[in-house]
Amino acid sequence: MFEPELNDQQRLIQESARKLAEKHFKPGAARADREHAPPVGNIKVLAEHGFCGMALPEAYGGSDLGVFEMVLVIEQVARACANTAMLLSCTEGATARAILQVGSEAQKSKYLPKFARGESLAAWSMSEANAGSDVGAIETRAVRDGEHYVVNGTKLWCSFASVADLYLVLMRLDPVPGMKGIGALLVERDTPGFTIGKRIDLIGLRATGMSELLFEDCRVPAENLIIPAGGIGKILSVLDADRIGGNPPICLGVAGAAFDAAVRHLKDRSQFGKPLADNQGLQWKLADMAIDIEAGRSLLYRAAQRADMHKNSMADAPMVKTFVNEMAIRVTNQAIQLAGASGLAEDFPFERHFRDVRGMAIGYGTTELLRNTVAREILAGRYLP
Amino acid sequence: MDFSVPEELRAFQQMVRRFVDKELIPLENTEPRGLLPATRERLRALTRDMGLWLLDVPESLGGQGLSMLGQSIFWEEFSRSVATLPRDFYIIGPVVGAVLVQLKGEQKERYLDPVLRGEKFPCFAQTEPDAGTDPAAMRTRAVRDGDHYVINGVKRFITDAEKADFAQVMAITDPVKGARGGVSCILVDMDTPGVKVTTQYKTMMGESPCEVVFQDARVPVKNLIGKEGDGFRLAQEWITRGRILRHGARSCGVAERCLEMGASYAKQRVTFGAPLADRQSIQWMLADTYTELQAARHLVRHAAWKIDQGEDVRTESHIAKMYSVEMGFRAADRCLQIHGGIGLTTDFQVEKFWRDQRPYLITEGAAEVMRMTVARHVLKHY
Repeated sequence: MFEPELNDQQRLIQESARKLAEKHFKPGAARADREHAPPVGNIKVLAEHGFCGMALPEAYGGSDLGVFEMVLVIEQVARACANTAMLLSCTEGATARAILQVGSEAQKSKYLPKFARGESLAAWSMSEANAGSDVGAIETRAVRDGEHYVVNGTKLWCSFASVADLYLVLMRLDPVPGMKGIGALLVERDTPGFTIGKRIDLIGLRATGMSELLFEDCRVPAENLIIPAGGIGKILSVLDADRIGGNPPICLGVAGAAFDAAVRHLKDRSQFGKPLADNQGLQWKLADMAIDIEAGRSLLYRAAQRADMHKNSMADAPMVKTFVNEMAIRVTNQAIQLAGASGLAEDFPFERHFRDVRGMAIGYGTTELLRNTVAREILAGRYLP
Repeated sequence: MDFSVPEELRAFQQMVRRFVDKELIPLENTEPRGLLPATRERLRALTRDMGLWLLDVPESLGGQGLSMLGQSIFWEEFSRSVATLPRDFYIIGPVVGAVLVQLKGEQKERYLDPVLRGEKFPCFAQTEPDAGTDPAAMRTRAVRDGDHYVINGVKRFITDAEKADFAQVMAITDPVKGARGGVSCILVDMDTPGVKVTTQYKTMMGESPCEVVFQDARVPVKNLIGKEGDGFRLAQEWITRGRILRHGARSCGVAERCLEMGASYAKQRVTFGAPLADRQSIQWMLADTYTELQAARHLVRHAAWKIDQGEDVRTESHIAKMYSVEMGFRAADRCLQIHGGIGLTTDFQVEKFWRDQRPYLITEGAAEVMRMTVARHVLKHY
């Protein structure tokens, strides 16, 4: 049953996240983007208020909250600063969940409490030059040698690379082709043979510390194995966790911020002797943006609640991500248009919001790949509207 | 009807295409953050020798006197590369425009001729903080005082003001008439006391247009272009040609290159054992871009051709711009999506096409304003 209203606890969480983000994260958001400087100080603030790793179990320092609460918080943080929301999501995103789901007790006790305290950031490294959507094409190789794995290869598009201290890295553990040979190791930052490569500059989300990862005869302790070869299927669900709980709430938050700024602009700005808001054509744009945002919010909140009931269908995450990504692109694009030339200037947030969401339709699973998944579920009779 | 490029322009088109392929596109990789000064000078000399300077200037003034149709073909071809920033035309010689080319006598000697020789650099100053879409809300005043105008006001988002030697400034000379006959265009030297570039606004396309403040700037009356009240008519000529060429034709060139890059990448990038080009969704993206590009190209060339026939093109220029710039952005956006992650990186040219194209849906007449004008035309004639 879809409960559209928040309960008291959820409302409190949402409200305190919003106030915190507005006060602490919004003022520095533009500068973080301009300077490509990850706002890691904001993680401390979030940790102090219990927002880091909040969806992790209490036993590891989390608050046992659900995906839904995580979505509420990340959305509010993203309204103020998308880069901060990205950093927050990595304290309980794919890497943390993978450790929680399939990690050894030693790995869980070693790493999870640090995420919850905001003392450690985790990165998830999957992509390579020849392996984006096609995970089975990964070439980075790990060869067992006594008590270690020896790793060689280059990873690309690793968000948080320059600020993380723990990396869950997908690599070929068995020399068999395709997904059967792919597993993952946990790599700590100061491991000899492992270097963070040059910064990768993208159109948006420029302050997440994205870089290449370089492995040159890097010796990783065998106990750092987290996913054995061929075991990737077991934890694809952690990717879906990001496709509901990580990426879409950030898009929703940024779309909301862009929308609010556009409404203010239309009321403040006058041309031809009247506020822009008096023009029906522009009023309808606002109406369409609001309808779009609400549709995205409904889809996302419902999927997040279903996640906490362990009732997600295979179609949930791809549908949510596809719709919310494209909605956010539409809304932020329209917000630029409504702001006119100011929408193009770096002094205003409009162009940053648009740049920040554009890549979200590519990272974490392209909307093309996700549409394939939805279609497959439909044709297999597993999705019934 | 023959819609093909006229015989006499085909060789010209090929020449420009070869220039772009050989000289500009490689620079996207070798000098990606902007052209080095030495490169800019080399290309500027090269285009002069190739006869690409002063395309829109009559032969009587030493220009090429190229038809609007020919100019639209030039801008389409030139816009296939993002080696230069979108409004940086230095490498194709002096930028003259529809206003300066009309100057006569002493004004011609002091302002047009130095531009033609490449010695002076102009800018065009109309937009203000409170007057963008609505130029009638302009506040910059030029008050007659003996042999001078005294100019007070603020202009905003003025391209190249920081580099310019002089500005073509739109100012109110008759506040009672206002938009209807009260706006004039005055030539103002940028080193006039009281004229100051105060700020530059960094933008998403990497350009930094300026704020220019006029504080009791005294400008000789003889710097008035035409008569008092001619301002809007002059500005309209400048903008109409710009809409067809630098917006309309430009967008077609952008879409053409995005098709080239998108199709090429789709054929070469293999995922899950097959090239992206095998996927129907990718095929349909390319089909949509191709179809819309043909439509835009026809609109642009038709508008350009009509100008060459001496006909009024107010509506045609509006729809050519409106349709083409939106088409161009969709083309760039699809091209970005086809490229996946690599389309997002600033190391590669795809995102530059995307970022550079977006502003054209706003500048020199936002798409919404274009629709207002077209609607008026429809309701008047249907």
